[in-house]
Amino acid sequence: MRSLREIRRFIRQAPVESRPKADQAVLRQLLTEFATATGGVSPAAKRCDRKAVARRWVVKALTAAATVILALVLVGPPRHDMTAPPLAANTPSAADLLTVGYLNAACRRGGLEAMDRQCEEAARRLGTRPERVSARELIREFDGAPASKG
Amino acid sequence: MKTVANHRIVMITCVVALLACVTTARAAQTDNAALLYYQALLFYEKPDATTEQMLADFRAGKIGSNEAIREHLRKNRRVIDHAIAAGNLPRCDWAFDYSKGLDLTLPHLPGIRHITFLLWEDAEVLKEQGDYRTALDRCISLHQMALHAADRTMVTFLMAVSISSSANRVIQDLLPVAAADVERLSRLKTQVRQFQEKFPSISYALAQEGQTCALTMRKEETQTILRMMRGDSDSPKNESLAARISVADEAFFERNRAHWLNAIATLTRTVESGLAYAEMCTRLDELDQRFCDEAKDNPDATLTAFVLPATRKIYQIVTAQQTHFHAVRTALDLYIGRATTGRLPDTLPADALGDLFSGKPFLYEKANDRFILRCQAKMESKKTEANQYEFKIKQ
Repeated sequence: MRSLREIRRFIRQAPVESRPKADQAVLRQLLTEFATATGGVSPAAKRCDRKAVARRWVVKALTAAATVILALVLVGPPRHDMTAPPLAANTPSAADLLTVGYLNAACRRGGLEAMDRQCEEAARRLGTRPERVSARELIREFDGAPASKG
Repeated sequence: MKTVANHRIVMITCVVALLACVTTARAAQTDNAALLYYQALLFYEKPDATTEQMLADFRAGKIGSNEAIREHLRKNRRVIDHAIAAGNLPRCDWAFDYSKGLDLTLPHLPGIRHITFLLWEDAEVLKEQGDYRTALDRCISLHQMALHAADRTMVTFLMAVSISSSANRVIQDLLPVAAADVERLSRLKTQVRQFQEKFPSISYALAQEGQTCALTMRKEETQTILRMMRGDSDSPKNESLAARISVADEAFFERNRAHWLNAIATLTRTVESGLAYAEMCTRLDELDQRFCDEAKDNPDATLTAFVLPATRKIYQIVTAQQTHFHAVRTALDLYIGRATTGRLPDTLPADALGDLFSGKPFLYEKANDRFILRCQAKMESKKTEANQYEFKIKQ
């Protein structure tokens, strides 16, 4: 292994050439190529720009989503209207159709057939068949756990 | 000796305990048919649209039974069993609140129609299988249900008419298969006569309807009446009538109640007057027109015009039902005569029941494979021909 003194001596005696014109030309070419490759922006500046663009996009997306949600809440149809068409204000309910008054009216209009049709319409809207309930579901409900269907 | 005595005591205690259990169980069973019908309605499994159409065709005799029809009956076996059990009970209390008058809801009506169809379809399938005795039992259950359904309003009365007419129609269809069974035919003849005799009269139904509607003719029920006027497309929509009701005081309702009860009394007297069918229809049309016209100028007749039942139409429906009863009973005599003598009689028995449209005996036409009982007057003048009832003969 070389001693420290020997190494210093080697450096002092090493040949060093200096050609200022050629060195400037090389340096200028390197700077030009570097500017072309990076768009004239330093890596640090580039990182800052990317963050700013991302922030702008996030803000824009959040604004759009908030606008859509607000529009749905304010002017969109209520949840129950999505499954059933709205009834006119004077449309009798299924229970109304099964009252003596409405059935009498149906009979006046079209006899037994009209009464039958009205009964069918009421049955269709009421859906008289109950869902099956198991003892296990009832016990779960008593325990406070949500009952699953099946 | 002591051991024998102990055994006896133990045996007696066991028997007493057993009897007590049986008695308690019997007491726990309901005597109210309505409770069984309500349970039956909860079990009902509705067919899909295709099967529903198939069942309608099957009832109309257009097709025979198939797997889908039999499956529908299998699924609804409990409904049928409950309806049969209900039919065997004499008491039927639907527990309706009649004080609600016109606003009384009859939630059982759609289900009762479904049970009617089930019993009908079951009877037809049983007939196909050759079990006409059980099939006839289904008809008896239908007749029993008709009596239970009749209850105390005009609407339920009409539903009962419809059920009993269905029962007679199925009996008419079953008779050719049961034609040789004189014992069963004789018993059926008695049963059908009893059902006809027990069936409420139109005047009873009118009187009950009078009471039901009168309960709504009160100031507190103004909104109910106006709501029904709005919902009834054929009711007098005259704004002045509605305005009259909306500002009416209790005295207005009292006078209207009196007018209504008078109108019902007039209608009841008329249907009990014994007028011939055609004259009765004319008279009922006149009364209907008179009561409706009266409301234009007489405020006391306002509510009568609104709730007046279509009495002429109801009278026609009931006359058709009663005539059908007569035809079935007459046919039973003819089938029994044929089973006894080996051939159909050439003429109807002297005491044969007649057609209520003409008040005359049925016209009797017989052929090898059938006989027809034809009415001598039409149900409605615009109909092309009079009602007739065809009964087939199985060779």
